[in-house]
Amino acid sequence: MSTGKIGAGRGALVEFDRSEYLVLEDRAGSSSVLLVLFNASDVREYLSLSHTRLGQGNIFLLPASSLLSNRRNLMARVIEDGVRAHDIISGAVGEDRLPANVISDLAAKGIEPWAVPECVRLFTPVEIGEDESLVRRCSVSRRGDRFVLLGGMPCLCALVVPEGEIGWQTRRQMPAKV
Amino acid sequence: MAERVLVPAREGRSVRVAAGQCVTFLDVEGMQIGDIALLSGHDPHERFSQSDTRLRNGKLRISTGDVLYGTAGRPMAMIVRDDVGTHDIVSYPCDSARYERDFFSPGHANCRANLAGALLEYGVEEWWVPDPFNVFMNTHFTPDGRQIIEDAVSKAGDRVTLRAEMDLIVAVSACPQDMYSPNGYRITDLEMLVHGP
Repeated sequence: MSTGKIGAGRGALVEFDRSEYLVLEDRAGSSSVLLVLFNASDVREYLSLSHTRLGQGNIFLLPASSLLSNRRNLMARVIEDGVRAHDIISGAVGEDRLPANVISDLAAKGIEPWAVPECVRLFTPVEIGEDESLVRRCSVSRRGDRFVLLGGMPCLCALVVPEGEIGWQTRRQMPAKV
Repeated sequence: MAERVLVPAREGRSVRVAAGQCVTFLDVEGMQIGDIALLSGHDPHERFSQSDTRLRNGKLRISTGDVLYGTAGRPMAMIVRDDVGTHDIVSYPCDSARYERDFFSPGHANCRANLAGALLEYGVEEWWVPDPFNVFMNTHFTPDGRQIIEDAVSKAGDRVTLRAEMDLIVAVSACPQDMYSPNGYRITDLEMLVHGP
């Protein structure tokens, strides 16, 4: 098991394996998190939100959503989601600058900044208008809310926290809730 | 003098377009989707970004006056003519996995391979072919997020014209999807015309 926390404006590169959990917890309330995944064994394979959306026929992240790669392989599955309000449609590539430590950690794995794909924006919902307009909303997560992924392949996970603070841990088993 | 590039049914082609020039995509016979990839003419790592385009235009459907953005957040092109009004900036180009797993047709022609082939001379590798601007693809959404792909409504002779906001490499695939109906089960040619404003 490994653990860490990430404050506002910071990021981290976290590794989790197939059948391993990645647990994210909002430690501050109203936090937001950007998340991208790469295949740790071949970084030319990465989280593709277009494959994920079309695979489920829906442009919102759903309970038990499968996160698919650009080769349409299962990278991770949503196992627990205390917020159920995320954005997999407007996480623009050119919008958010990655923190320097994330850029250097990705470079050490052979991933250049231009190769970073569209990200998941956790805890920040987006709404679709009748006219198919997009409206982003602020974070709706509360302190203690969790989001848990189960790895479908060995993953490199870049996490960036634009606001708030999150804790993360990787673990082989989830503890009993009661 | 316009440069005309025929894009045969099921195939891909590319062309260079200078900043300020226009490129027109012509649906020759109707109901034919084209998957368009834009890349910077100076650094093809800077590519069309569906997500930047959705976010910066604030919508899931774009038409005349809207701008196509790249992965650096910069404008790449503007739509200056749109005869149809139904296009897609949400879907990936059909790929080998799509045909193998959903349509039981391994080896079927696909847009990702067509685009990669058309971009090979620029050093582009298949894994970083961008999710394209899917012109004439009739995708829409419900407020609860369901993505619905219906038959293309473009007619013979319909056009979409982009004005390049930077020097571009433009590739297009005449989508070979004939396993269900978005192209009307009939794959036909497209044309690209590069011309002045």
